[in-house]
Formats: sequence, C-alpha cells, structure tokens
Amino acid sequence: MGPNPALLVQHAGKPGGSLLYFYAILLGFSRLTPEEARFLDPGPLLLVFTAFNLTLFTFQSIAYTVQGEAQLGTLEHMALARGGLLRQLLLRALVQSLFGVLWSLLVLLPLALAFGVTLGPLARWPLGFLPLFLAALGFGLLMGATALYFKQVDEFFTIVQFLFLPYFFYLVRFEPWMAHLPFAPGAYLLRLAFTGEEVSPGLLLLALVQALLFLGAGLFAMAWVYAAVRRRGLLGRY
Amino acid sequence: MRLLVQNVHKRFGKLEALKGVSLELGAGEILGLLGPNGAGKTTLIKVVLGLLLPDAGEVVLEEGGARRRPQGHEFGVLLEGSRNLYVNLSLLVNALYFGGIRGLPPKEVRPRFEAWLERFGLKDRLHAPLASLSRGMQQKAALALALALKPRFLLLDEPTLGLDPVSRREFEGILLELKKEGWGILLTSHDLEVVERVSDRVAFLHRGEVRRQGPTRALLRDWAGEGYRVRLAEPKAEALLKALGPGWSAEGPEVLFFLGPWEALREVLGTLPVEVLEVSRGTPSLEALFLHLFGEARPSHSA
Repeated sequence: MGPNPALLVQHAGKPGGSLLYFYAILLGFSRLTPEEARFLDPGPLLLVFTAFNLTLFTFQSIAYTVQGEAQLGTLEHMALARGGLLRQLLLRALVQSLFGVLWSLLVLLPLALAFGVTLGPLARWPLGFLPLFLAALGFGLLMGATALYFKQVDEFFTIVQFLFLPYFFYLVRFEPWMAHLPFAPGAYLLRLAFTGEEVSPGLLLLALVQALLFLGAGLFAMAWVYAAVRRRGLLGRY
Repeated sequence: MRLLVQNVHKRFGKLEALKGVSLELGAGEILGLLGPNGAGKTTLIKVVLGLLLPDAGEVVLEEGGARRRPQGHEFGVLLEGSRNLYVNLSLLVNALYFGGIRGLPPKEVRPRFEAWLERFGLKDRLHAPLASLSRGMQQKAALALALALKPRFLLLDEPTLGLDPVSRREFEGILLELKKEGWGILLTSHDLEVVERVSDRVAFLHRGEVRRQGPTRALLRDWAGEGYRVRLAEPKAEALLKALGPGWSAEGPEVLFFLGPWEALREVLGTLPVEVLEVSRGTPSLEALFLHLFGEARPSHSA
C-alpha cells in the first residue's frame, strides 16, 4: 500500500506552515524602526522559537494524546498496555519530542540562513535541551492530568498554546531575574548552547531544579488523577 | 491458573454497582456472566481489568501457588460501548499498534492476526481502514485482534453484537476451540442461546449481586428439573401454549418445553394439531431461567 497523500500533505504542511509563520513574524520585526529592532535580533528570536517548539511538542504529545484518545474511545485500551497508561504517555512524549527537535531544526536552519544568523553550537549542545525538555514533560503531564479528568479541554489547551507564543517571545530579552520564570532558564540554556556561549553553573542548577520540580509535579498529578478517574469510573468517559 | 474475583464492592455515589461479587475463572473454562442492563457486568469486567478500582475486595491471579494482581495486558478484551480499534487506521496497523503497546513484536502479532482474519473472512481487508467496514465486520476485526494478542484470559463484553447468524455460529465454534486449548474466557452477552451452548458455568448478576452461579446444566436442572423438548414442524408454539396445561413453556416459535412425566407428555402429543418433528430429554433453557430471575413470572411448570 502506498503512502496516504493526505497524510503526506499534512506532515509536510506542518513545518512548511511554521516556516512561513515565523518568516512572516521575523520579516515584520525587521521592518520596525532600528531603535525598536535593536533587541529583536533574529538570532535569539530564532532560538527562543526553537525552545517554544520543543515545549509545545512535548506538551501536545501528552495532553492531546489523552484528550484525543478519550474522544476516540480508545483510552481504556491504552491503559491496558504493558506498563500502563503513564508509561505509554511518556514513551509517546519522548518520541514526539525527538520529532519536535528535528522539526524545529528543519525550520530553524532555513530561517537562520534567510536572516544571516550564524549558529555556533557547543559540542555538548544536546545537554542544553535536557532541562527544557524535562520541564516541558512535567508541564505536559500536568496538562495531561487535566485532560484525563475533565476530558473536553481542547479549547483550554488552545488558549494555553496561544499564551505560550508571546510568553516565549518575552523571554528573548533575557534578564537574570527571569531565571525564576517557568521555562525561562531552560530556554536560555538552549539559546546559549546554540550560540556557543559558556553556561554558568548557577543557571544550569536553577534550570535543572525547575525542570525536576515540573517533572515531579507532573508525575504526581498524573498518578493521582489516574487513580482518581479509576476510582470514579471516569477513565473511559468523554 | 485461576482468576479470582473476591468480594468486590464498587459504589458510584449513591449507586452500589457491585455488592460483594465473588467469581472464579479457570484456564480452559468459559464463564457466562449474565444479567439485565445495569446489573454491573461491564463494571465488573473493568474492575478485573484494573480500569476501575474497587472500593473493597480484590482480583487475584493464582498460578502455581503464587497469588498476584493481574496486569491489564494479560487480558484479551472486547469492551462493549467502546471503540476497540482506531477507525482511521487499517486493520493491520491497528493490530501492530495494539500488539506493540502490549509488548508483542510485529512478527508475532501479524501472522496470528491474519490467521484470525481469515477465519472471519476478512483477510482481504487487512489494509483497509476500519471505518470502511460494516459494524459486524468491525466487531469481527476487534475480536480477531483480541485473539491475536494471545492473552491468558479473554474478557468478552457482548462479543456477538452485530454478528450475522453464520458468523455467530462460527464464533461459537471458535470459543469452544479456544476452551479446548486452555484459554479462560469470561463472556457477557444477551445472546443467551450462545452462552448456554458454550459456557461451562454461568453467573447471574442482578443489581450488583450474584444471584445464582454454577455449572450451566446443573443450575438449570436444580431450578426446574429435567423435562422434554418438543420441536414442531410449524411456528405455532406460542399459540399452542394457551391451550396446553401446566408444565409447558415456549422456547421459540417452533419449540415447546414440557416438565413432567413421559406418560403425560405422550397423551398430549397425540392431540397436538401440529406435526411433531422431534422430542428430546433436556433441561429448560437459560433464557427461561433468565426470565424467571429478572423478568417474566416463573414458568408454570417449574419446581
């Protein structure tokens, strides 16, 4: 059986759409007056966009999986998987986040070329992903727990995603106090890893602590809600 | 190896869905779980699968003297009222996906799934999306997958729903084969003829309680004793019933059941205005017992 043309268009269309979307944003910024545009250097902007994409992919992979499977009526079958529902969600998140990294790179590289951004990644750049990925995973689990309990939360998720974009753009002009904001130290680490700047141990520690807090909260919420929906008979309902 | 449900209680708010249910299912055995709508059958199945947590009681897998909580992936499942497969994916992709999440490699799942599809006459639909199949075919595909996962126990909630009479017969044969191979099968169905033919034991669940359980034949014999089944050449059983005395009941348009001595039956047989094709000894049907427990009044012949 050949590939499904509709799926091909859908998959090719996603990065293509992102590419156009961010190209339009950057083009818009480049038309601003020079004084306003000073802090809108496309380099950091592109790298924050990569952080945004990675966070979004990880969040979507868990939260939308729960919501979508509940809607399809297959969530209970997923819960019968070896290792249970949580293991399945984490595996999916891992795979989709890796896909998200590739996708982000696919969008990042042409845009970097188009705007003359030079990337100088550190040899250990994948480590720059880790805190942000773990924090996004934790956040995804928190949202997944919300979906597991309430099920019909797609509009809420749309709002969350909509808020993510300005929030991540806000982090472009990174200042030290921002290291305490959610995802900010992880996003900044990712940026440093790609620009080749040295990472301070304090920032790394802060990013890791934040990531572990997010992850711990997400795992706890998911485990608690999973038990609650099985107690109340809500697992398979939509 | 035995699956034990021990004193399981489950409450949803004010509704006590299960009130101390205890059941047992062994390998190579088919247990029919019967009851009217809302009796708690699906709730019980979900408790067994771990999709619902009981308020009290436990589900235990006993194997070689060791006891443990069974895991969900150890069961083959056909859930009623729930989509068992992804409608937009092909049958094969569904099988490989569900096999994969249960830890089964494609090389194990695919041949087994294809073999079952062949049994159900769906082999040529292997690459077709589930959505392109009729409801009955979808049910067969879901069954084929449940069987291809080769679980320790099979929990089937209304498996004959949407199956045509030929497929239903075929399904009965498959259940009996699986039993011989040592599978333990829990079957809930409102298709009482099928349950009666294949089940070793039945349990009647009503308002969350097991009202009766035991070996199917013994249960029927204990309830009403043995009698005679009279097969007619024309579908006039209901009409004749009005004229016949106590001890008679209808088991279908062409079948009457008589509980009483042979001499009394012989007298009546000669007077029937319809040709009698066959008379055989037997117990009343499961449907009669079901109606007695949950519906119509107890048949007049019953002890």
